[in-house]
Amino acid sequence: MENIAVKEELKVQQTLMDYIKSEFLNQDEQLKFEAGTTLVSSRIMDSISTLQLVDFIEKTFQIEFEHHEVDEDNLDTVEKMSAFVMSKKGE
Amino acid sequence: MIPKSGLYSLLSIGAEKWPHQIALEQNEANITYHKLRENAESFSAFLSSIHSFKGHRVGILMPKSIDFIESIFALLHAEACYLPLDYEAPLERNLFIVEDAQLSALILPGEMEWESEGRTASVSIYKGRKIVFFEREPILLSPNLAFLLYTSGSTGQPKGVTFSQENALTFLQWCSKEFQPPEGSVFSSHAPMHFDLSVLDLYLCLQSGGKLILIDVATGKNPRALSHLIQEKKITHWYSTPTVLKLMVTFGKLDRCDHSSLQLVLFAGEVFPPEPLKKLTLLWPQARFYNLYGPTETNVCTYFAIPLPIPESTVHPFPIGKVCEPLKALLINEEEGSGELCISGSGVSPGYWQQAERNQYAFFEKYGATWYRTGDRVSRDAQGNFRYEGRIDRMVKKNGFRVELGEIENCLQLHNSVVDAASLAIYDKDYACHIIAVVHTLDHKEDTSDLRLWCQQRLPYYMIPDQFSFVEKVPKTSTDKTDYQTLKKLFA
Repeated sequence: MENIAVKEELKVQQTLMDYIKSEFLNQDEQLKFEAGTTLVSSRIMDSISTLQLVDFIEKTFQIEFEHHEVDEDNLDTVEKMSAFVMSKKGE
Repeated sequence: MIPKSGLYSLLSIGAEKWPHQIALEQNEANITYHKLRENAESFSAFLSSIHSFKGHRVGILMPKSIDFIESIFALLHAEACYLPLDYEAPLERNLFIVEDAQLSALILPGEMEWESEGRTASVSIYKGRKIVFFEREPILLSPNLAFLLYTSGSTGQPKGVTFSQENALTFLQWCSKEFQPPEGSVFSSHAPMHFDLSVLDLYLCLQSGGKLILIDVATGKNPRALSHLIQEKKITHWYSTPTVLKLMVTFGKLDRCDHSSLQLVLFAGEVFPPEPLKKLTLLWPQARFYNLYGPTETNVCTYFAIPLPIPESTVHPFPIGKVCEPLKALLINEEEGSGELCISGSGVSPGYWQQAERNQYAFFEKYGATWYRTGDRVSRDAQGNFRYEGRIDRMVKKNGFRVELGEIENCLQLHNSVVDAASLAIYDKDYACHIIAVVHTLDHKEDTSDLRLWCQQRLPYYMIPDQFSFVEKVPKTSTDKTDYQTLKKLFA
C-alpha cells in the first residue's frame, strides 16, 4: 500500500516540476531545480506566479485550497506542494 | 501640553466622541478609541520621561499592528516626527535610513536585535516594544514635521520626503469632503505603513469614527484571504493599488463571498487597465470607484470618479481627473498637447530631508507659489480632466511602488563580478511593469540566482528585477552613456 502512495506522490512531484520549469524558471534556475528548492521564500516565484500555480494545482489534481492554505507552508517547495496535494486527496 | 490641533487631535477628539467604539482591529484583537488614546499617552509619557522628543525624528520598525499605530500617536503626542520603516526591507537599507534621517530613537518589536554599527545607543523596553535611543551630536531639529516617508532615489539611495501637520490635514480635509464616510464605516488598511496610501486609511478612518482593519503582509498578498476578510469584517471602504484589485479579480474567487458591505473603492499608484476594472465594477455593483493619482510628495493630488456602468467599448485607461482642492496644477514644458504636471498648495511636502540640491530641482517658485515637479507627463481632455501620458525621467511604478531604475543599476554595479549593468522597464498590454536587468559580467558568467540574492539583500522586494539578461556588452551611445533606446528595442 505504502509503495503505491510513494509512487503517486513522486508522480505529483514530476508533474509540478515540469510545470514550474516551463512556466517560471530560466535556464540557469532549471539546472539547479530540485524538489527541495525553495521557490517562494527565495522569491524565485513572485506572488502572481504563486497564484497561477495554485490555479494549476487545483485544476490538475482536483483539490481545493482553503484561503488560509495559500501560503509558504504549502507552496515553498515541490515537496511541500506534493505533500499538501496528497493530504488533500486523502481527505 | 497636548496639541489642540493637528493629527494627534484626530485621536483625542475621537476618544471624546466615540470612546467605546472600536478604532483598530487586527484578526481577533481590537482597541477602542478611548483605550488607544490612553495607551498612546502612556507611551508618550514614558518617552518624555527619558527626554523630550519634540522636533526629533523617531523611526518605527515593526510589522503593522495595533502597537504600531499606538506608537505613531505617542510620537505625535510627544510632538516628534515619526518615520515608518519597511519591516520587509533588507537590514542594510533600513540602516541607511536610520542614519540618513538622523533618528534619535527607533521603536522595534521587543524580541528584535539591533546592531547600531559604531553608534552609541541605549535600550529600553516598554510593553513588548524595544526602544533604541541613539546619541547624536549635534541634534538637528525638524520642528513642524509630522512624518517622513522614504522612497526610491535616482542616485542609488532612498530619499526622505517630509510632511508637515498642515500637509496631512489639508489632504484629509479634501478626503472627508469628497468621500464623506459615514460614522461607523469600516476601512481597510492594506498598504504598508511606509507607503503614502496608509495616510488616508488611518487618519480618514479615525477622523470619521470608523474602524480600521489592519491587514498583515501575508494576507495582503493572498487574494482569497482578502476576499474572505472583506466579507468577515464587512469592510465598507477599500483603498489599495490596482495590482491588488486585479489579483482579486483573477484569483480571488470573489463571487463566492458576500461583498455587499463595500461602498467605496479607491485605487492609486499605477494605471488600472479597463478590462479587470470592468469586471470588478460588475462584481461589486453597489460600490463607487475612484481613480486617485499623486506622487508621495503631494499625496493624492488629482481624482476621477469612475462613471458606472463602464461602457463595454472602453479600451483606454480612465483619466487621472481633476485637481484636489485647494491644490493647484500647472503644466510646464508643454509640447504637442502634453506637459509636465506641477502641483502647489498646502498639501505639498516642504521638500526632501537634507537634500538641498534635489529640492532645488524638484521645487520652483512661480506666480507667488512653490510648485513641485511630479515628473509625470499629462495631457488635458475635452472635459478638463488630466490624462497620464508617461514619465519624463527613469522612475517607474511596479505594483504601485515607486522604483528608480538607477537605484537598481547602482546595486548591481556594486557586485564583484558585474562589469556593467543597466535596467529597464517594459510594460505588457495590461500595463503591468516588468523590470529587466541587463548585465555584463566578468568572464560572462551567467548566474541569475547569485544576482537575485545580491539584490534581495539590498533592495526592497518590488525593486528586484523580474528578469536578468546577460550580454556581451551593454549598448552605449556616442557619448558613452547607456543606450536605453537600443535596449528598449531589444527587449520590447
